[in-house]
Amino acid sequence: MSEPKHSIQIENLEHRFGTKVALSDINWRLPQKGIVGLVGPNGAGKTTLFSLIAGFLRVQSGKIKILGSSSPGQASLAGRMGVMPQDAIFAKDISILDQLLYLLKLDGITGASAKSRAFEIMKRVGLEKEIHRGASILSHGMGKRLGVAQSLLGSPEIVLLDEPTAGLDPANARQIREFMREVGKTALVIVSSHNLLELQDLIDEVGVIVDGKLVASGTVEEVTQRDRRFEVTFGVPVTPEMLVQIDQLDAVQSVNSDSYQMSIDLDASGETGLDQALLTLQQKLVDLGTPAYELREGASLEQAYMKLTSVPENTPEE
Amino acid sequence: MAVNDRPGGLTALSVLNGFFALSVGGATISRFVVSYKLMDVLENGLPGGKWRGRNYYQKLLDEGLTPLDLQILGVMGLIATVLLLVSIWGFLKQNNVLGRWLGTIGGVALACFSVFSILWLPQDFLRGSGLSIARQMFYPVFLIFMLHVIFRRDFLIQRQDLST
Amino acid sequence: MNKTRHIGLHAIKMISHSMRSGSGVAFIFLTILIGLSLANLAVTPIELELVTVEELQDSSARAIGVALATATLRASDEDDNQGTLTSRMENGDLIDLGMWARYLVIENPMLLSITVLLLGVVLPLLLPLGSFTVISGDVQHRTVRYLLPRTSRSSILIGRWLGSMILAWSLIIFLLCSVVIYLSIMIPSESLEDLIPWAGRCFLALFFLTIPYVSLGILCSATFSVPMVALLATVGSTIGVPLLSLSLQEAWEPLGNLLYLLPWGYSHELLSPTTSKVVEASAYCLLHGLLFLILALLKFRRADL
Repeated sequence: MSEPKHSIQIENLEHRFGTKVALSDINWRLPQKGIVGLVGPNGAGKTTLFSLIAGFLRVQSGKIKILGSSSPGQASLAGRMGVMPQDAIFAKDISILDQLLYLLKLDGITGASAKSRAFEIMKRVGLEKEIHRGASILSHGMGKRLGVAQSLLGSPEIVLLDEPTAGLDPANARQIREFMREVGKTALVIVSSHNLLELQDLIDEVGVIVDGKLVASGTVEEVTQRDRRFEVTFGVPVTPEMLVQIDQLDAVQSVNSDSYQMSIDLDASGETGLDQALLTLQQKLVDLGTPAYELREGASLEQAYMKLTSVPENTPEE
Repeated sequence: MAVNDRPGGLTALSVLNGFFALSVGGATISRFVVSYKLMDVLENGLPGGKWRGRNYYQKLLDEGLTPLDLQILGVMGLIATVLLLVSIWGFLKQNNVLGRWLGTIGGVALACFSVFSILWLPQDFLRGSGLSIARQMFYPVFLIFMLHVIFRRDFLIQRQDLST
Repeated sequence: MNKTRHIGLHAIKMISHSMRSGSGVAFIFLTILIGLSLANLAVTPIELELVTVEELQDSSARAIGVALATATLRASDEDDNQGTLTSRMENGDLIDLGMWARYLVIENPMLLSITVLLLGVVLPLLLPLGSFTVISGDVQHRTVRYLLPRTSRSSILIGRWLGSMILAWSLIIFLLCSVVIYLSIMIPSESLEDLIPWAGRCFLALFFLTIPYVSLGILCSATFSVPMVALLATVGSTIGVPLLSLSLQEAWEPLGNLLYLLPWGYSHELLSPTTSKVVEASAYCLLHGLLFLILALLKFRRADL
């Protein structure tokens, strides 16, 4: 069976800023399309890795192959990548529309089609009213949305988004996520975020960086080792007897409670997987005479992240 | 300082406007002062004894310049000064009327002031060749070009925003 | 990616951005204003009949001779004062410089020559204003990161260099046209038939003179990510090199050749009566500009942005 093609192949990547090691021995292969999350604590090296892939920083040691090119920043990659840098600002003195048209011209799109594309993209991120203004008047959230918009102007094959939804209100964040889902159907989207709950619903694969090292990578199921957390809300307060009964189930790894809520970690690694585990749980709840008012998948990615980054989880009082 | 998206060039233009407003303002004051002194000279004749301005006013009289001519120049200069100063505010606020149009009229007034000064005042009072006047004429032309070509959209967009 | 197209796009963008930015407006305004002021300096004595044409020819020929002697590092001699220098020219010691001065102010339109010579001294100090923020501004605010996924670094640099050059040349053309038109109308001794060919020649001289100084501005802009530092570096080197070489020449004459680190050492040859020297000086300007541009390219391509 032939190996699936990867759009990005990172081999033995290392990077230093002076004496500080920012990235160490990174090996990672990313698919041709889909949404990949990149998570890690502050200062772990996420933005450095993004900058290296995007070609902002020069590769000091190791290799990054992108879409068949031997290194980032090659002429053959021009227009094939969209990048939303974390801390870049749009040029002063020029309107947003003029800048978008300029970027579109560089992508080879001119004239009326460029203008309509610019307006369409700005409408998608909810900024169509600001298109004739300068970028300096935009709020932080609006600036983020503009950054996302410019990264998706052309038809890039790879899109790098560095914390695209940070600081956005729920409606705008949802809009951006929808956009990412759409783009992820035909291109590779790499997104970094601290909002693991949001990422979990969105991504197909994840990479976890801690202190410059890629400590885990793969599909969400692989990285979370099939631990799945569910939050159950009841109409009555959770009693100790309920906790004991639920904990005794084979499919349940651990259970915690907080007033009317229970957090249950299911083991979905069995042959029948998650479905059977959930069926067993719900049957038990019915037998106990305490049906669930709400059953919601919790942050199992968060749990895996906490384990991998060795951050102790705060357990609620029982 | 409030955040704004005013182009840096418009801010620079407002500074230049201020500079030229002060410059023409100084010349305006000079015209008015000289006109009143000339009225005094016409009434009472040139003062006797050593007087530094003797040659100056004698030349004005020889050229047939009247106090009214100087006052007209002064009024032109005053209009130019006021318009240039007010348009600074218009530039900073990107106001179409106060900025673009008053700035244009101010530029025209500045040009008229320069041209009529050349035509009416004795040559050596201008303290320079015709090229120095051409240099003075450069700013009004430059200003009008910048307001109506380079920054036109910035004033119109601001007007659109205010009307919606 | 069509590199040529991208270079053109970056050049056009640079010019339109310059006209909207504070530094660009200041550059355009100051260049025109100072250029016209220099022309005014040359024209005023004749127009106001403070001196006759012959008197001005005579005094400017001497002044140009002294300047050329300094520029060609022949100013220093046993006595080393202006009076000796002038008499050396009159005695035929520096006859080539005397003929050169004569070529500029007697055989060709004098007022235009004086204007262009003055411009040749002042332009190197003005040109950095048009190029110091071309790269460093975008690097400082990381705006360049929006461009890098779409275009190559060399396209950005070369395009912006080209834009700076076109802007500078446009301003020079405007200045020369203004002066030529004015002289042809107001100064009876200057006719259009003499002015136009000489103006073309002067434009070529200034055209080549602009290349190394704009390239130096781009090099400093690519080297320093803070625009103000880039400006200080460019202006500092432009003024510092001739001052340093002239003062070090006192201690040891060969050190005067430091003048050749920048075009100060040979730019006067651009208006030489000898065609081969003009061609040589033009080639040196091109090579100098190319050197600075290549250094800027190397710096920019390797930079972490």
